Amino acid sequence: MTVTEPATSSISLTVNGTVHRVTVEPRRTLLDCLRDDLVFPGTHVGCEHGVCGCCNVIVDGTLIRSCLMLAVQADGASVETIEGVAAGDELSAVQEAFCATHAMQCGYCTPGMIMTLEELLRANPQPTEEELVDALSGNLCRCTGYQQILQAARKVIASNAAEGGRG
Amino acid sequence: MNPPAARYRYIGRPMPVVEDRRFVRGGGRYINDLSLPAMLHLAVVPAPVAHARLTGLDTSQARCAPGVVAVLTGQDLAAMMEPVPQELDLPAVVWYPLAVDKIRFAGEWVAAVVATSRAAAEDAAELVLVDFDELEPVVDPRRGMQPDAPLLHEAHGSNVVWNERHTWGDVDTAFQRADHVFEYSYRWNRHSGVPLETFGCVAQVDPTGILEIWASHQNPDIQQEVIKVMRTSKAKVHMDIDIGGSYGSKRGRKQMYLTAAAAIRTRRPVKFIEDRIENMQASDGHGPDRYYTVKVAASAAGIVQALDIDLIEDLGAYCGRGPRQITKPTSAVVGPYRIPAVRYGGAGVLTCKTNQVPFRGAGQSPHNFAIERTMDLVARDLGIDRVELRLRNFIQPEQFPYEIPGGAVYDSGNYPGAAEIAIKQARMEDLLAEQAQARAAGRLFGIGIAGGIEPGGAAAEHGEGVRIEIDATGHVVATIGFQSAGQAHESMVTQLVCEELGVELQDVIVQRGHGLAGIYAGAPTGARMTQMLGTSVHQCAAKVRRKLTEIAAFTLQVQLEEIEADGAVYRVTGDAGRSLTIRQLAKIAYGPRMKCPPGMEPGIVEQNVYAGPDIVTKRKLTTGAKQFPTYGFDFHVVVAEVDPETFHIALRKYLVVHDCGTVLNPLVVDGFVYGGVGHGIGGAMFENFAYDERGQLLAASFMDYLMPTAAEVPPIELHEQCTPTPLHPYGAKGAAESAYLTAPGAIASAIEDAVTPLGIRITEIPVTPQLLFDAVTAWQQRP
Repeated sequence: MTVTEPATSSISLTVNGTVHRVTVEPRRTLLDCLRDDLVFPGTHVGCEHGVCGCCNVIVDGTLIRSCLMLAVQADGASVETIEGVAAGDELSAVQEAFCATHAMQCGYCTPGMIMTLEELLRANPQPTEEELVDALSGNLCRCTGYQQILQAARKVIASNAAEGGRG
Repeated sequence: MNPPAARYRYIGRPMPVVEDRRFVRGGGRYINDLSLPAMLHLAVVPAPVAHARLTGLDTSQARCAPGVVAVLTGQDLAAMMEPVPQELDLPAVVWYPLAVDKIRFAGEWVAAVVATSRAAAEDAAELVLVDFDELEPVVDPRRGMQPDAPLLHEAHGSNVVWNERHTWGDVDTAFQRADHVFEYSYRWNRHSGVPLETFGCVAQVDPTGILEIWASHQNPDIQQEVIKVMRTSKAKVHMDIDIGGSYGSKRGRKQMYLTAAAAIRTRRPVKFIEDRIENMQASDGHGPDRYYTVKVAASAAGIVQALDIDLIEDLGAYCGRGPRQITKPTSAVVGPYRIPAVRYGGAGVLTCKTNQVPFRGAGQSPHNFAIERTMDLVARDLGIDRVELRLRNFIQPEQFPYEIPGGAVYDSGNYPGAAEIAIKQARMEDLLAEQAQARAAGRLFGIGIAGGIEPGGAAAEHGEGVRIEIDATGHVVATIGFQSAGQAHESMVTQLVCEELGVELQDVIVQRGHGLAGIYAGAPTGARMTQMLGTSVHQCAAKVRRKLTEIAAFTLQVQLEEIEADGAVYRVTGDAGRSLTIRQLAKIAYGPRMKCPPGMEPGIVEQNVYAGPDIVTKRKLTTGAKQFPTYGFDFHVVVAEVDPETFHIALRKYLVVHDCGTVLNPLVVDGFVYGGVGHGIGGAMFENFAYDERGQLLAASFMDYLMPTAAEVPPIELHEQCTPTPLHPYGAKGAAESAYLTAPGAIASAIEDAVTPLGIRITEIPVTPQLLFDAVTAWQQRP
């Protein structure tokens, strides 16, 4: 058995609004491509088999596990990572709520959690408790027991409801 | 929540956590985010079987694979480093990062490939051919203890590495005279912290010959061990990276030494980040794995007079630091109860599994589980209410300081008080009425209770240091010895510096050091940072205030005693017009020499090391016999419902009364409690590093090792009781473990109460639907 140099593909993807061209092996995951080729280290490696949600990013508006998507599959796609959530110094409502409730401890699952909530609340600004828990149940956290993460999400949802009521 | 003392500006208030601002932006910097120029990557070759003689390693193809720079074997390591140090002095139990002559567990690393990328290293690792003669594995420690069992380390002559029995108090007489003697057995299966970040490290030899290591290792004191193990005189372990969760389990020593050896061999920086399977199978990160037999002597009124606790601990393939988890519980061996006599001991046995690490509480959680299960079962067997039995046995508030059998001293506590708050807040009478209704309707509805002691502040082993500097512009820089794995140390130090020096949050920078930064740092273990680092900051700030006062007195031409500090302002007592701010004083301290008191060192740089309160270790144990100055307490009430057909278990209610003395920052402490309950639910209901009879780990992925999600953890209702410790400047105790040290017992109590109508008892965790089904089936088919 011998190993030969693998073939590569050139792809183009938009990350947080900027177009990147990169050459990758076909087996390279979107996760490794984002972290190592394009240097978006906020997307974290957790389990590498699609269970923990640490690597969640939004691809063309849909939440995906970047460890389960090949970089070549994202050719031409628009990718949002945690680095693109805040507008400059201004944190998003979810990020502010996470700080207000201390919805984290070690911070490792936090980017994936926030991406999950960003996607959920864009499509559905006032989810029910059941919808909220269902959406978050795809992200593991080993530090918090989820209480303060749910508090943060409820804070944003309540604020969305108040704004919706005024509108 | 008790209101914070009026004299505090910051302590006791929910202070935003400094670290959170960077974490929410993806700005945490973890080990996998570190990249050095010309860095290589390491991948390991795992052993396919659990026990074998290693007869050959053919690395020739791997060495020729694209991108490969080096291949290391156990023989290579044995020639260039000392064995990895272990908890017990066992010359015949030799541990290297790669197997040298024997494979002792499935997944043990037998070779390492170093290449230009992780992918290239993994490709080449598959080309390493491993020859071995398979041996009978030792999977069950009870089998491993038998004289004819196969031996993991033949030269040691036995698989048993720890075998002690201690008697404190008149145990025999208590059992002879007791109205009742009961015996119960418990099984605590392996689970652990399983952080979402695996262990990782980067090593290089810098141009001056210093061996540098960055690692997601939680303990700064590792640097001394690096020097010894790697046979170098110069090492620098960097402690300024974020750690993606630890709970005690981030202590990958063999990983650091392997990576360091690869860096020394290749003369280039090398990175090794475990993948998930490597982490689950071989990271030496598993928690306790224990069989208990508990004998109890009790009076007719349910007063427990003696305990005889015998355990068998399944340590894994090398002794590692596992034995510490056997001895740690002796620091709270009787739990919150006034039990005068205890026998404690058993056997620590090596088996074909990965090593243990002292995980959250270091063996205290299974111990508390055994104590609380025993209290429940004694209550049931005597027909006494479970709450009432505990109230009859609790150490009373006026009995502190209270010396328990073995000599550990509990500083303070109010156990009946916490239980009463819990019973009242849970509306126990309503719950009992609800249970009666549910049972009448054929539902399996149970109420569980448990108390749990948290020994905190592990003091006797290391001091804890801090350096506080005020620069010429009045900004405060506090340097501490290590990073945080989620405990918000930067925030705690910031908060205390603000409290002590009267400065504002934005004026404080907390810097994390490295092994050559001149900070004496111990380890964030045993719930000790509030006690040790918190006290050190308190003492260091006093030195800073002293110097500021001296400069103020000299400048304002008054005696030292005439200066009083009011926050950041130093003024002459009774003369509010004559004052100087810290900013002004700092400017003076760094200014012309003649403006400072004669002989004073310029600048404001103070250092402090706190050694812990003066307490003496009385217990004579081979390992882990350290003393804990403070003792926190939890009382939990849980409602569980079991589906009579599927045995699915749902937690309907979870209530905690938590007492860690003064709470410094409720945002942080509440998080510890919630997270501790989360770990407790995992261990009690889901998580199990199960092995098959050939020693293969059956739960090596997150598909098989089940952890609670947001859907499994119920809303947790948290109440605080505050019993301040006299052994800390603010009255704070350790806070991060007690919920995990209490939850498994409380959950088991609730599930048992639910299934009582089916005639079964809960003596093993995790309690899964399968376990309940098997227990019910066995009960129904009993002869």
